[in-house]
Amino acid sequence: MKTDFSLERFNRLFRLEMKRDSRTNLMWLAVIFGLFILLAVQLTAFREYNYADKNSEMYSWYFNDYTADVMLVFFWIGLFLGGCFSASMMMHPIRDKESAIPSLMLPASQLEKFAVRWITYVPVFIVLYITGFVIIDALRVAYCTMTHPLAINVKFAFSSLLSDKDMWLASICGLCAFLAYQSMFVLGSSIWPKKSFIKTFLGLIVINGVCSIYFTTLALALFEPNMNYVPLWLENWLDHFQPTRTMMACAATAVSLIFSSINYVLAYYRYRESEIIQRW
Amino acid sequence: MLKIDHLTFFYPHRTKPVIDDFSMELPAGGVYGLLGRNGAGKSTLLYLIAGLLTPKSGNVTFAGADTRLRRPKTLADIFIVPEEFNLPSMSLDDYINLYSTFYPNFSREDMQRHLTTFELPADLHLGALSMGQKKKAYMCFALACNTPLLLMDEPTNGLDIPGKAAFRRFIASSMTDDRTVIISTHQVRDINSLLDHVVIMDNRSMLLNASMPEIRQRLAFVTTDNPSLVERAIYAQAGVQGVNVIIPNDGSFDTDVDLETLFELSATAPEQLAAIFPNPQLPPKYEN
Repeated sequence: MKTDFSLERFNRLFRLEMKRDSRTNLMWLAVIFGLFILLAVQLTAFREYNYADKNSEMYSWYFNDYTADVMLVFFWIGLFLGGCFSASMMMHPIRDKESAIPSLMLPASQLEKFAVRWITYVPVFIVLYITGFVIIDALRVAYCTMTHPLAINVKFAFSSLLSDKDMWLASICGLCAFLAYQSMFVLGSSIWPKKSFIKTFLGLIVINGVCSIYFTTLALALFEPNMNYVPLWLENWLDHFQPTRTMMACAATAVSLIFSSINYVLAYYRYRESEIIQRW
Repeated sequence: MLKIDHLTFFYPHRTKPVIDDFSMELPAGGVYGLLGRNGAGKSTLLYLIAGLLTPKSGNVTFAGADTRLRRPKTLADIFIVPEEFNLPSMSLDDYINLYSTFYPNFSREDMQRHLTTFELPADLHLGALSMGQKKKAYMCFALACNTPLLLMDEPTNGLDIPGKAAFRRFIASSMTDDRTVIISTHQVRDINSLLDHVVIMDNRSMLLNASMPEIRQRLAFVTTDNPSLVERAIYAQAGVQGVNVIIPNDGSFDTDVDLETLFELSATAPEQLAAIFPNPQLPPKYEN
């Protein structure tokens, strides 16, 4: 039997995890679906515009642009909230001693167990979420087209991605930012398997607060009394180096992916050392 | 072989160790009883053996591999039945199909035989079972995996009287020369007839580590009203049918080991036990 990673064992473990958590996962998917359906229905049933002049530009704008943009906003909010909550469930099997013992004693390497959980709660979640959102959005568009025939070309929420390069870049940056943010909850789940979402959230608030105080104090110490002062070297650099939007997007994407990778690696090493008791 | 080497373990925020410089070697084969009072460290020792806790110092090796590393090969050789555990809500058949693939020596025939011993049907749903039934089902699976090392923490807790009798038949029928079973319990009567070897722990150390034949050879367990026997005894406790005594065996006695009385001796007069079973593990204050 191979020691650290065996594809055959990984497949068996993946099958086991899917089957074992299938009811819980389906329940959460149903909850998310239900919430988005409610949202989509609320948008289409916006009363004010039902009484508006159906030949007006406002009526078309509502269905062409407004609802599509609002759906897009809720897509990102749902992705961030749902993704972080999903990530905080990643180490749920080791939340207490009774659950942890069978999980930790299963004859598979810690890397395989971590990889299966990571794949389920990060990329699989993203794919399922996007797929579910597209289906609901398609239902919304179909429903609006049938019930409001005068609202010409009811837009899909993702329609701007098909024509706008800047939107593509922004979406990729947004997705990488989501991965970076979610990775903190993956790490939090490894450190605190129980009540992970709340503890990680509070931890992030504390870290943000400490960092804010520190950097504000540092900035005041360096640049006071003239807060408009910019060091000459920085001014020269900004004059010569004019980053394009694409360059900035690529830099942001790279930083996010590196940050996410660091968190995933830390989470794995923390999980590898996990015990059936919580030391801190 | 299981080797425990100078193991020390602290629980978080505690200043005193639960296990303190503990060493032990258990050769392959046999049923070992790990006895002790509540809080003696029996369960902790089992979890350390299984690699579920990180010791402060020392290590545990099984078949030459450090159990704390939790390598798949080592995990496939060890099965632990904890006192309390959660099982997924699925049918037993699904559970076997999913989990048995990780244990190369798993046998469906053995599984069926063990289920019959415990009078459990094969078409169970794990989510619909009582705690006792879950324990029986889990123990059946544990034994059917045929791992060289089986650890059981308070296995008879939660079992009904027929279940306890079935448990004894169940263990006795499954023993092989290369299988080691370590049972941690304070319910000594439930496993009295099963054990090949006894380890008694107390106050973070080992008070006794001896095989049953060795105990029978050196000690006699007699219930008597004979005053001369009571006078010779190193331990005496009044019972319903007479006085339960432990006397040093001069070769003229051939009695069964009364684990409960032996345990009482270890708790009340460990120095007497140390005199008969010299134990390098024992702290100096217990030795003559």
